[in-house]
Amino acid sequence: MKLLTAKDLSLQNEGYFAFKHVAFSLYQDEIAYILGDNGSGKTQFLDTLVGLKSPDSGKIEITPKARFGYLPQINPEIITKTVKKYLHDVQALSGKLAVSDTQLKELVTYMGMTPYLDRSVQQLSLGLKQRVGFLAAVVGHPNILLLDEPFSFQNSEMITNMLDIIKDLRDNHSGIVIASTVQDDSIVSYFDSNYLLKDNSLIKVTSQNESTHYMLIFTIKSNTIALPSNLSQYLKVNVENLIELKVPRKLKDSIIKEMLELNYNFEGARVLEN
Amino acid sequence: MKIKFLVDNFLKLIFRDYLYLSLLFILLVIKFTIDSALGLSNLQKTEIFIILTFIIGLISGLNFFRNDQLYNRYVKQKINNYWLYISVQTVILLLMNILTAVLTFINTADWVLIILFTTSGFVGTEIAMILKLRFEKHPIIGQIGILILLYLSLSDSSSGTLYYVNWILPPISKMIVTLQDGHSLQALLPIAGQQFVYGIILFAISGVFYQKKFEK
Repeated sequence: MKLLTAKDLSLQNEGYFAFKHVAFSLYQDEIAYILGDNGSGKTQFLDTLVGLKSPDSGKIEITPKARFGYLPQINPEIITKTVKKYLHDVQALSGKLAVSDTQLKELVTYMGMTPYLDRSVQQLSLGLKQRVGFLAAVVGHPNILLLDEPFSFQNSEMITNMLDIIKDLRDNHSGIVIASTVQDDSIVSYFDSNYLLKDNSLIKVTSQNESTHYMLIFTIKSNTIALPSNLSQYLKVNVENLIELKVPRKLKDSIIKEMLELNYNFEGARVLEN
Repeated sequence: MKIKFLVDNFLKLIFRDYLYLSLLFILLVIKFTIDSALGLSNLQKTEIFIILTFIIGLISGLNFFRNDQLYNRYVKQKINNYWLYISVQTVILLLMNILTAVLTFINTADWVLIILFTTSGFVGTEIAMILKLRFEKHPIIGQIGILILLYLSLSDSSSGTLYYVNWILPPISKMIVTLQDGHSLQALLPIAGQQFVYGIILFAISGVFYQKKFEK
């Protein structure tokens, strides 16, 4: 299901175009990655999508009752509250649809923020503020999550944890847009679609990665359930207790999850040459 | 919850850079020294304080909306309710004007004076609200606009060319002229009511005008 569509979107600031005639769509269960150099207009684009800037032309269509979560690149708000109070306030702003108290506690622990709960947000370092901002963006359990440079000032462990949370949201039918200046090969596999914002235009990158297929290898256990039809279409090998499925890259994670739920043992995956 | 969040945020915004407190302090210094320094009558003092509370409302309002633009860019997105956002802003600014009036006349406890000064300050803050974006994006035009509105607010519009556009001008000078005509303070209450309605109209106009900036 389409969550957000931008049609022929243009924005200019003081005579200079931030972006021109941009078309963009975000779907449920999708993580879209926008790569762009400094000053390429990523922040302006996300600000426009979230409604903080009015485009000069074009229009944005959003699915009714969509809830936004937004992590800005720099949040100028001076937050004198403690981390705990601030996150609880943001959670309360989102009402019943926000994550539960238990989930919030788990998220805080996962993002390594437990030791800082009683510290004022204003006093935290940039990296810790970024994590608080990230948590504030996700506690509302948004349908549409926009993240502007979410990985800045973070170590690789935190980046992985952030990506796990993002992936979890995607698996729960949210659509996520991540804008960043750098593209790290180690995280690119998390994204379902890649865009390049360059020369005021947004170009969808259909790299070789997009058409990559994986061979997923599973073994059968005594309590394994038979393959349902939606998975049997990917079946390539079925010998004794060995099952191999050829799946497109974007479905890899969800199929592994489904197979584990059917009590198959996941033995590994290999990339198939196109 | 949204209202509580906004009230907390906006109160901090008013007191963040001490401008409002400084203006309040200057007002109190003038109040306590004006008798010995100038020896003005009560009528003249009331006229001066009407102008001062109007100007304090205007300057504090401009500062409030400037801080709002600077610090609250992403708070608007979290709240996601434009009319609630600007309504709470207006209520908080009205409370700020009540505080100014109460602190200025706390020793007299004259509620009529408190109402008159509150509504005068309220007109000032609502003028700031309607000019907020002009002032931010086009500072020169914004400042010229403020000067023109200040001039029109304080000019005698009971005669001359301004008489014909009297109804559109901020009703500050009208209050002063009525006072000079020898009317009692109670007779100014309808004009205070007019000032309040004028402020609400400015709020509605600015609300509709800036809505596009807030929502898609």
